Amino acid sequence: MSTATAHPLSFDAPPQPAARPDVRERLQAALEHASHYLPAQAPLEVFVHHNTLHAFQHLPFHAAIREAQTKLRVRGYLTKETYRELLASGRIREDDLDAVLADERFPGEPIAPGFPSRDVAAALVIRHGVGAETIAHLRWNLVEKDAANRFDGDIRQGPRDAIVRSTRAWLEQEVAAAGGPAGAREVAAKVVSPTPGERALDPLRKLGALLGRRVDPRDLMGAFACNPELFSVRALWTACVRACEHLEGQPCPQDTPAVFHRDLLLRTSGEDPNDLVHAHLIPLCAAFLDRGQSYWTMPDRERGFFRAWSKVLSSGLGVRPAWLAGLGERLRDWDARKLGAEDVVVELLAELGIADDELAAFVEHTLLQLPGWAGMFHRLESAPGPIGRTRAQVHLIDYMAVRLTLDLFAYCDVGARLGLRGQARAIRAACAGLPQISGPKQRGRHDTSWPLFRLCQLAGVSAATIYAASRADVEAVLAFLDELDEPTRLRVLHEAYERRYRVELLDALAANLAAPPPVTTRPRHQVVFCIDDRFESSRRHLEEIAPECETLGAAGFFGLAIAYQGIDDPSTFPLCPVVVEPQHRIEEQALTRQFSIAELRASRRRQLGEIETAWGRMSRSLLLGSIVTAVAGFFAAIPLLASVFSPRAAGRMRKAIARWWLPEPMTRLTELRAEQDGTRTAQVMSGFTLDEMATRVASLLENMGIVHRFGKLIVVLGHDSSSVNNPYFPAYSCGACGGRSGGPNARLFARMANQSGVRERLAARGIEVPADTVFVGGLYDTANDMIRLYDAEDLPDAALLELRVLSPQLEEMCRRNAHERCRRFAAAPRRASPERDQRHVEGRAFDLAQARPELGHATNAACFVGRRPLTAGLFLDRRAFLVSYDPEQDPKGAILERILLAVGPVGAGINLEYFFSTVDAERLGAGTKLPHNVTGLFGVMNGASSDLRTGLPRQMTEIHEPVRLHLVVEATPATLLAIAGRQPIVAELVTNEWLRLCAVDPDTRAIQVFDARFGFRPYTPVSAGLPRVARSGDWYAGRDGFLPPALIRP
Amino acid sequence: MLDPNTLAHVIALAPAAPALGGLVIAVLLAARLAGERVVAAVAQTAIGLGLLGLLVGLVGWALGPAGPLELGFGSWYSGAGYDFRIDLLIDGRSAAVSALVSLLLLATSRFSIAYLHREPGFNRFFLLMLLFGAGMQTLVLAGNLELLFVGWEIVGMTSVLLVGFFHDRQGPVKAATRVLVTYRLCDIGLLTAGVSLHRWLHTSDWMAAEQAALTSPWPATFVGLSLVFAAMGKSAQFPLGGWLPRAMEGPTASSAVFYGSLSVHAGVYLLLRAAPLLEHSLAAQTMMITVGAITAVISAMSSQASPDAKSAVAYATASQVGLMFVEIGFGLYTIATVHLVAHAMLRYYQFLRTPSALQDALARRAALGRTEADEGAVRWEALGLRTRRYVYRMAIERFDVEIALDRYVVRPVMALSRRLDRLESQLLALHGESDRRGRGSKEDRR
Repeated sequence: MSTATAHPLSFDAPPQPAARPDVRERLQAALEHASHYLPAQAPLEVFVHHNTLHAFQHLPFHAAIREAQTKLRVRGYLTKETYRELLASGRIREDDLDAVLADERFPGEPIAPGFPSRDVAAALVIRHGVGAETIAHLRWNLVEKDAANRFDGDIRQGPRDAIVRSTRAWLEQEVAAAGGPAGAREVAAKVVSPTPGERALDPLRKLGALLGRRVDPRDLMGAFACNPELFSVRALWTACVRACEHLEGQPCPQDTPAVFHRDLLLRTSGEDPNDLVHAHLIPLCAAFLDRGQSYWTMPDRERGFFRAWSKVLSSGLGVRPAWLAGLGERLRDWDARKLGAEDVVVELLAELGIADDELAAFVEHTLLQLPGWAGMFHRLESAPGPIGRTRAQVHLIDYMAVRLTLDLFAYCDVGARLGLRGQARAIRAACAGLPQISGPKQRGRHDTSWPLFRLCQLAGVSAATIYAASRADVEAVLAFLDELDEPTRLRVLHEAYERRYRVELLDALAANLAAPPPVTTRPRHQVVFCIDDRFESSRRHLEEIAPECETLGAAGFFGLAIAYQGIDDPSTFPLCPVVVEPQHRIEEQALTRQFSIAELRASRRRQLGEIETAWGRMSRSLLLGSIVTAVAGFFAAIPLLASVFSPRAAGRMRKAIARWWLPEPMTRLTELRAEQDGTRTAQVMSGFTLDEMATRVASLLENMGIVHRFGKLIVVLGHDSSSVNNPYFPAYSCGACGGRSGGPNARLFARMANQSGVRERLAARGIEVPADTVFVGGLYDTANDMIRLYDAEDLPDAALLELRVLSPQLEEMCRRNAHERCRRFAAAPRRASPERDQRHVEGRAFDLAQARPELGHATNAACFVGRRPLTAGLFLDRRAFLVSYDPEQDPKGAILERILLAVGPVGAGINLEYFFSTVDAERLGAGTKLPHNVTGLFGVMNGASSDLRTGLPRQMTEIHEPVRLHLVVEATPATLLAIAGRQPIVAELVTNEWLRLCAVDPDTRAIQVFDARFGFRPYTPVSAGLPRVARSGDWYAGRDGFLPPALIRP
Repeated sequence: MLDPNTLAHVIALAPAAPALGGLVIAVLLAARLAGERVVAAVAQTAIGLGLLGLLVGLVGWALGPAGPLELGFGSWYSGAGYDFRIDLLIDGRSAAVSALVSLLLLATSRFSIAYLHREPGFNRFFLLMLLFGAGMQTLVLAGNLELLFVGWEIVGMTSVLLVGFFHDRQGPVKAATRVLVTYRLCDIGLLTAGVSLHRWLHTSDWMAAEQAALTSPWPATFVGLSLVFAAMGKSAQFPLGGWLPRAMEGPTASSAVFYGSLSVHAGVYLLLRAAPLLEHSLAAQTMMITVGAITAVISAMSSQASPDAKSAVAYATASQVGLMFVEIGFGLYTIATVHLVAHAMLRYYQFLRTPSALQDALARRAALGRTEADEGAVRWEALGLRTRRYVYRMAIERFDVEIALDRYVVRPVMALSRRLDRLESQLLALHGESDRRGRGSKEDRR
């Protein structure tokens, strides 16, 4: 651009400068485009679940998986071996597969004469697979498993007999037609044909060798009779190979040729240029993005990664690795010409010989070499989120510039070892000419005929049919098999896998609706939980313990989007879903009479913090470190041994010391703002006015459908999860609060709802809350199953009396809940009492060694939006989000629209993150936690240098069943379709089937299931009746796997 | 009061029980009977038994007559003027370190039961850890250099296998190879030392060697330098410390016990054991002090600049181990021993807590009321920009030691071997074995 302004008046300026902005624009566009495919994970501190394949969400679910497979090289389903095992174990049943195949609507006409119909063939291929994806696998089958001479193990008796029978008939005909011993050789050649590479043998002798006896040319039928199986299978294989001979040399349907430098060099030299680049790049990326791990921060971070990197590399003396020889001059040259990162990228693209039309693909390819790091640059550039920016100026283009510079040098270095010296742009052409890079992959006769051979065996088609088939027929069959490729087969298997769960779920729902449990109409107490799947069991247990208690579910921020600062927090932090920008600031303040305690606490905390900081620094420093380690090292033995050998006692002790040394003052929240308060000017207002409070309280009460029935106590429980040694702690906490504790929201809600001013305004809206109804806020810790109630000391006496009734019930609920959770922990004592199990879960939360403080959302699979009678008395195995909603008070669907808009994306986000982290633990998940290394306080690497690991670690997903969220809503299909029509976010999730929508009619109780192909279809229960037990404990006792639903009827 | 014979057998449990436990697990594995609970029980019993035996033995020793105690178990084989004796030596040093080893092993096995739960390599981890424990105890309690060498090798091999624990990924395997190469290179030092001791002093007994060293100073120098070389590799000292951060590829628990606390201190312990010999060699002492001091400075700087939790602790460890080398160089043996034990304990704890880095940092920030994400040290920021750039480059590139090694040693050696390989295949080609060429050049790049 500067060149353009330098010659503003000259008409005959060369066209070059005019073309340059174009390159830049296209580069920016390419970066923008490519960055969609990078993981969008935020720094761990603000980890929030989201759809891992969000970039593909505009596509239907299965199409998106296919697209992601080609683009990101990730897996979107379980492996086919897993599905086969699930089929064998009965987790997927035959009727599931049949039902899914019926919906696939394969045409019923035969693929070719003599072949089975398409639907039958598809069922066979999907059920059994065609095996042998690679040449090596094929060779293994043929050589080691002798697959050309005997039926595969999974071929049933029917097809075996059919093939043998038909081969016998065919052979009789052939022998008759051959007319004597001379023609017998011809016939034998149709049964065994020498394989290429094999020395040409007489087919009769070869047949003899296979059969283990001499073959008389006059008595082929006799030879057949001595081993019909071998004869028939071998003839079939020979026929298939011959039928495919003419296709040899044609391009393979799926093949990805190496296009760019790295792949070409890797394939030709066996040496990966990335090994050189990454070893250098990763530590520097970590140092640049560091949010406070290192004491010495990278200089020049405020000038961007490219400048900082080039400054560090060109300052002082130092040895450069051999492959980076010449980098110094490059950097000086760029510096002298004052080139920015973008200029450098443009220059390097030209130097690497990237053509204009390849630009987008190349940028994508380059960024996807280290998706985690590139993604973190992108994320911190575009949305630094609530944690704020560091001094570092983060730009993806800077990363690109550094990466490409290093790539260039690495390519040249590896190329030089291959004897390719000279210009980098010549590398690709030179590599492509090397013998290791062959042209596009071609079909061979054996790999083409193998699927055909398998299909014939499965379907009972013999050599006779193949020999009789025309070329076009064979090609039609092969085209059919190509169409039924692996993603398609896996898709059907996966749909069958999900159907089994759906059938169980909806059958249970139907059974529950048929015999509804008694639900209290005038509850004594009401307890509001988060919609979280983990509270399905808590609510069930509470209802079993206290039938007069009603439980409700609402998103864990309780409709209060706040920026909150507790007395221990350094700043405010948003407690609301990440997409919402909070407008109200709430602070926790010590009561006036408790100021001194607060002061004491703050100053002691500061002292402890300083000691800890100094201690950490000293232990890593040189001379002070020696004194510190030699003297104080012995003291480390105390916490070390205590927390390893008795985590619970050590944790309790630590807590007790903290309580004694850091006394907690009594506090209040700054919830109220006077109407005339001028703070409105600010972006974030402090507190709420009474009107605003009333609006929010009313809207939550309406959402949950409790506008007429109020108990004496309404306990609102936010939730959090305590754990140690766990970089993923926000993933266990409340997702609706941005991965933080929902306690403050619950406390605030209760305080607001207790305000008399709010009560008056509620009454004016028609919500009459009785005067003796009191709201209480609380915090539920899902890791150790403990509840803490807020502001209980402010309660009126009557409410305290009520609380004395409810508290023990809540405690019992926690114990039973811990008991139910422990059945899934292998380390928990077997068949222990609830008390013992609660001690166990408490210990887990304190245990340094515990990679699974709790199992999080690992069991999520469904979400119910509706009144509690839908699900009350139903054992759902902690697999369902439960959202309270009363369709009777929402004739227009406005409330439901509000709910779905929040629950749809949040539920699907959690569910899909677990889904993809489970099916591809290495590429979409974070792999095992054990070698994880917290880096720069924003992510984890494996060991000292690897790509940033995104997604969930295996310890969180290992028991997860990857099933899309089944969203069951108590509403008519018409209402739901209308909402989808109004809300594109919901529509995208539903019509693209990222979640499976089911409707329960509020009046008729009819269940309908949505399918993108067919719309809503009525659901008829498959099985009638469910097991009935009196208590949840009776159903799960002694069992540690997933359990089907059961009816709980006391 | 225990008689020396009983004492010997009780103390011998320290290496023997873990070895036996390892054997049991190996048998269970071979018989496909190894489940998590069984393996964990075996490991805990074995290590607990070892610790118990050791503690009883040590109490017995402490109550007995003062002074080092030599416990003989006969000889493995002897002949031609050579005798491979199996002797244990108990003195204050070996008692302290051996107790530390047993204690940390017990803690590790306890920790790993929960930590490695459901990991595919669960059984393998416990097998390797028990073997490591047996090796480490042998190393510590060995009364002569040969026995120490046996322990040393077991420790080395188990370390390598645990670095490569996740062998289905490439990174850990490469890192393990790197560790293996460094270890093997430095084993040359130990081997040379052992052979020369026999050659010149006709003994490898720690106590006897001390007497012999008084008579002839030259062997002491040669043996001393060899021992220092051996220790440098195991303890990640300049210029052979490049493997240490790479070794963090294994599970956190094994990183803690190996590179945080035990294995990395084995070199220091070797030097402490050989101290009587080293005292007679100025060259060896100078080398220890130089190498230790350089490592201490470089690693401390790297630790300050490390942006990830595990490397930061790893470098800090190497730095303190360097200081221990200096201490031994100056003859401060007691201080070095105290430093070793305390340091091992502290680093072990710090390593186990590395996954807490984020939670800890947030808690610290909250306590200090800091909001800014950048908490760059004030003193660091106060330095001039140019100085900072220079120091930073040195710190993050670790004074380019590895780069220089790679560039001036590894690459030329590799290039030479490639050339030799080519030459060989050309020669072979004359004999009609032309297809070796392609394979040969591929293999040496690994």
